[in-house]
Amino acid sequence: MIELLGFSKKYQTPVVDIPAWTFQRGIYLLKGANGSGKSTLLQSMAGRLSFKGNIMVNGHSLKKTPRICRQLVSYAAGEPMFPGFLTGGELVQFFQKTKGISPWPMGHLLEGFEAPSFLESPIQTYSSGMLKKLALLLAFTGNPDWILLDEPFNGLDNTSVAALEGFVTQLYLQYKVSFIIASHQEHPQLMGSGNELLVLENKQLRSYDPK
Amino acid sequence: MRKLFIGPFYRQNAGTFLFLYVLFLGSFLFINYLGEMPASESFFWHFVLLIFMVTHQFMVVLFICLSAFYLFKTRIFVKSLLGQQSYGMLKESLGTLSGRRQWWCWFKVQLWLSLPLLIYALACLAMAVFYGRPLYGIVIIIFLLTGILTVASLNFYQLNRFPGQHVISLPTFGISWKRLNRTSLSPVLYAIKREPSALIITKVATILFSALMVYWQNEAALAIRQWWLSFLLVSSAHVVVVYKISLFMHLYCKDLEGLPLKPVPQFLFLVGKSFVLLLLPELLVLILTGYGGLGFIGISAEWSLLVFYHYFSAYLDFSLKALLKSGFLILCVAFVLVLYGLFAVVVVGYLVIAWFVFRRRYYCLP
Repeated sequence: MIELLGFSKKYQTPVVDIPAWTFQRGIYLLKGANGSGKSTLLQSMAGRLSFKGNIMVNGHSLKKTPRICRQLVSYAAGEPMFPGFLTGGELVQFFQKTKGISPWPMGHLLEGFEAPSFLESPIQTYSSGMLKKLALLLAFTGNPDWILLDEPFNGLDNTSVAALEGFVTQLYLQYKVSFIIASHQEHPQLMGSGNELLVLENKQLRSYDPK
Repeated sequence: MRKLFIGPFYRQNAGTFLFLYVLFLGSFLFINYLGEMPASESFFWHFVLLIFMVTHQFMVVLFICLSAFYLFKTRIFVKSLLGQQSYGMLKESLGTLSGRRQWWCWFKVQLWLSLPLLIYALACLAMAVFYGRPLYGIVIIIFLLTGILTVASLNFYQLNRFPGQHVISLPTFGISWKRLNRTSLSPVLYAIKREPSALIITKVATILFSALMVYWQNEAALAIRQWWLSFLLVSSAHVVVVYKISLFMHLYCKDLEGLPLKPVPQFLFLVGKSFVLLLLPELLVLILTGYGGLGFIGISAEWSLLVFYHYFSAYLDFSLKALLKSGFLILCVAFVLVLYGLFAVVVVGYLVIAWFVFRRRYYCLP
């Protein structure tokens, strides 16, 4: 469970202001116009940005125990950046060494992403789609309870999108991993029972029923 | 971690290492040219350097100063990398390890980054023991280990702190900070809060050096010129801290420009008290060991140099490279003058230059 308590974030002007919100186990699709604060919200929940108020992850305060919260929450950035001189494979190995081996098999996702073809090349030679795939692979390492994906489908080809949707559903159903996914697209495959569509507008978060 | 930090560091600084190597080699070749030492392979020159280092106090001091500068350089390097977006992934990977494992990781990285220093320091220790002067070797090793532990801890805290929180909270020591006039102390408070790495490394080096001076004085009375030179060295070791303070004042205290103060209070405004506080530990070392008189002469001279570096930084548009290079050249001139017994001229000279630099450009100008 992730709780937002008096959460607010402002740059020059306030961007997000959520008095209270609770994310129970599930898959959440987060929608909102450009600049509505989706990435800011996800980055704050991942402990990458400072903010006012507090965020509790499974009862642990993100501000007081950021290390424990980072173990519970994985994050894939919308526009990922990595040191260009490393290869993707080295980075995946580094993440597996530090975060631990995942209980779920990654083979299908690796195949769906056609990752073996590019993982051994230096990251500086990657296209934006490859970078996105690498960021997603890294977010799936370890054994987190929550995975936050910022615009994960942008720049992916259709095969990869299908592989990612299938993998997210599998992790949710078999391994009880919850997701918050910021995306502009519709994803009917992800919108099964217990999943929720959220909209971030006017600095506030609210549930959205497309019907 | 080796590929992320160590490789880039050595690649980036290969030129500096080559320069230092050639400098050391060249200096000994020059000595050889004068006919005082026999020629041999490059290994020989290092061997000579080590012997010189453990048998002459000046080399110990030089080594400590260079080590402090080197450690500071490694800290700045890691700090800048951790600030880059592409290294943000370390929070999600390394940042999930337990505190102890993470710290150990940073310690190993710092050991690798300090490898050239460590090899020299260990060789120095071996030579010092061999020559029956273990103190110099031990001092070098203690300083180096303290520096490595400090830098490793700072890197660890930087990665683990929550964004927007300070690395180290200000110690209160039971003092009510609200009662103090924080504005007049803002430079020193800034150094404690925001530049702990530079401050700790500088202060450890200078306090250790002051203690060494006392030890040498007790062992065999030093010439007064050696004390004067040591005061210049102590103040010069503060150059990076003072530069940071000066930059902070320039960026965040712009509102203080144009205050209706007379020239002299303007000149001493903010920095006067702060620099005295900054130099207080060295003064205390000398007072507590019975050299209070020398301590007060020392703090006055060091204070003058700090004021000079403060205003000179602004004059050079806060270019650290320019400050270090020109500061070094001026220091060389000062050294020569002190060797001719003109210590007072040097101190007053620094203050006069600081005054002219201040009149040209700084705060509170009408």
